[in-house]
Amino acid sequence: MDILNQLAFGLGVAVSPINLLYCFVGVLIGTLVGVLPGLGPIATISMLLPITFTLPADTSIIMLAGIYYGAQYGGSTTSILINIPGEASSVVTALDGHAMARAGRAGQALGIAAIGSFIAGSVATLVIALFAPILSGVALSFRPADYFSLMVFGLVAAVVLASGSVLKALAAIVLGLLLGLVGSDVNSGALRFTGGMPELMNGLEFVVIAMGLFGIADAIANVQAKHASDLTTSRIGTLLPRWKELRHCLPAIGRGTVIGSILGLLPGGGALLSSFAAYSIEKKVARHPRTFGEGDIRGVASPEAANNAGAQTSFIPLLTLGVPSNPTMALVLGALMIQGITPGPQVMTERPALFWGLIASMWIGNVMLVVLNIPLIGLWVRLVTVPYHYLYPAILVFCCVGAYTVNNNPFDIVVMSLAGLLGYVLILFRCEPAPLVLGFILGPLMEENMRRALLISKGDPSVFLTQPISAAFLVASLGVLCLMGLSSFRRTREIAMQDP
Amino acid sequence: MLNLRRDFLAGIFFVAIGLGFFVVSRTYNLGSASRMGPGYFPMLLGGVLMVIGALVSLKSLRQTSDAGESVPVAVKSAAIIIGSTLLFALALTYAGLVIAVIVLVVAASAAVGRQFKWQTFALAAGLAAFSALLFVTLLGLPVPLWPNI
Repeated sequence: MDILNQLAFGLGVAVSPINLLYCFVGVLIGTLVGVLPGLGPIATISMLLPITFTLPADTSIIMLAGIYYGAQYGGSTTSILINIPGEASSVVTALDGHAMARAGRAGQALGIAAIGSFIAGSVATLVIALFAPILSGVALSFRPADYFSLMVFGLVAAVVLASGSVLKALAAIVLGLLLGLVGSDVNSGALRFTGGMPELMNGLEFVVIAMGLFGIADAIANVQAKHASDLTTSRIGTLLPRWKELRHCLPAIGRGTVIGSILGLLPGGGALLSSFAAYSIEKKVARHPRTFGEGDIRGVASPEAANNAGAQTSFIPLLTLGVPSNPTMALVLGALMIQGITPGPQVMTERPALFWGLIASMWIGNVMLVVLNIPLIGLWVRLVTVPYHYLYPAILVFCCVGAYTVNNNPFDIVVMSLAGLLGYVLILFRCEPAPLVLGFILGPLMEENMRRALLISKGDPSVFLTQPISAAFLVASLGVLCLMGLSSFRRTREIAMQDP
Repeated sequence: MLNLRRDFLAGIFFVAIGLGFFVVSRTYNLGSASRMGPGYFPMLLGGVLMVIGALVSLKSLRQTSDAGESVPVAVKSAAIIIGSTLLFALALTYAGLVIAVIVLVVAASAAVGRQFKWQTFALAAGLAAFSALLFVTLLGLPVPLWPNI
């Protein structure tokens, strides 16, 4: 069994002391930010990017991945205990989870969330191990036109499947693509949009833009908001669900895992979409759907399994195609590029330690999360009450120092402040700043592939339609956009996003 | 009404940025499709952004507005927070990390009117010590700690 060998090799990488340590640090920080409202994994990963400069590539990716799936976990803890979803992806968990907590069954809700996440995480690890090699084999035959169209599809699908206005999200993406082009042009060496500033010759720094858009802009948007807390200090009780309940939940966990694993693969998928979809499907298949919303344990098990599976499988498109499927993956891609690694089908063959080490670390990280959370739940609950006026100065300090250390130049702090202002303006326009990062990271790659494709075809744009793979991606993008035009689909999407 | 105006403004905002990139791109060498110059792709994108922005604005005119939903614009908070990060950039250059962090935390706390509370100074001192320890001692990044005299 080749895959087992490779997984064993990955396990060997993941259990090296430094990787274990940073995996632990990642899931710990992830749980922490998952618990804290007003601070999410995107902002945290941006703030920690400068720290990853000093780490080896596989270690830094293992840590960042730990933050991502750890945050899903922390988010569910606060959803259940105090009805505050620390993360958007655990909004649905609050419905039944908090109802269970009010009925004195908080422990069982937490327990089933942990068990469901763990089972889903383990299955998703196997899914990655099985599918990633196949997908990267396919991707190796991609030509420039195919890559260009794949990126178009990735970007379009990412906004249609995400929440909010599609048009404004598309605008944010194009703005991101444009900002990604600032600096010297790779082909001609010509300086573009630098305004004569030598600091911009190498382009805008990805880390700096990300910290501004998420760290600074979020601080501005949240500083006046009141974080109401409905702190019912209910007894947690036993964490282990009874065997009867567990058996009752296993099919739900199975369905959640399948839904999450599939949706995680899609551009725009990942944890958020998975948990919403899993909850509504669970409600549909249940024999007595009335009990949902009033503390049905399946309403916790299935979305928790789904968001964990989705968080993990969303690494597949990034590591095999080099295309990030959501903003968090765009940040991971940024971290890889900082390390000098271009994500794509060659990662698996050229950097097997990174690839298989990451996959194995996800499984280890899930074990850590279970072990970590049982004794620490009391601490997490108390942390939610940390007032935001202590939190945001800390966020600002991390962003400012982080931005400076990118080039040891205060110029980057100024750029970050302006990016923060832009992010706040976008928030005011109800325009998600997250797609901008996707565009920013893909801008130069798209230009390069378009340039190569047109060079090969001698300037004939029909190349994008005559190559079958490229044509398929473009047709799919158009299809997804047309789907948005259908009012029935739009309604379902709005309902799915707002009121599960 | 506000929803309508917000989307209308958002559209105008994108059109303006798209136009800016479009115009500047035209001053670069455009090249031809088979040999794209540095201006080709950004000009294309600038055009696309203008079209999307126009669509956002036009759509807002046709929409019935979500009445009663107001967007509080936190001008003061935005100015204080952006101002304090800029102040940090200045302070770091001349006074080093420790003083810069304290300045940042105290200045930013003005956004919630807490700049003179003792807890704010405690937080500032704690964060200054923590960031000096993490970034300079542990990670060994070349950040100046104290004023360069």
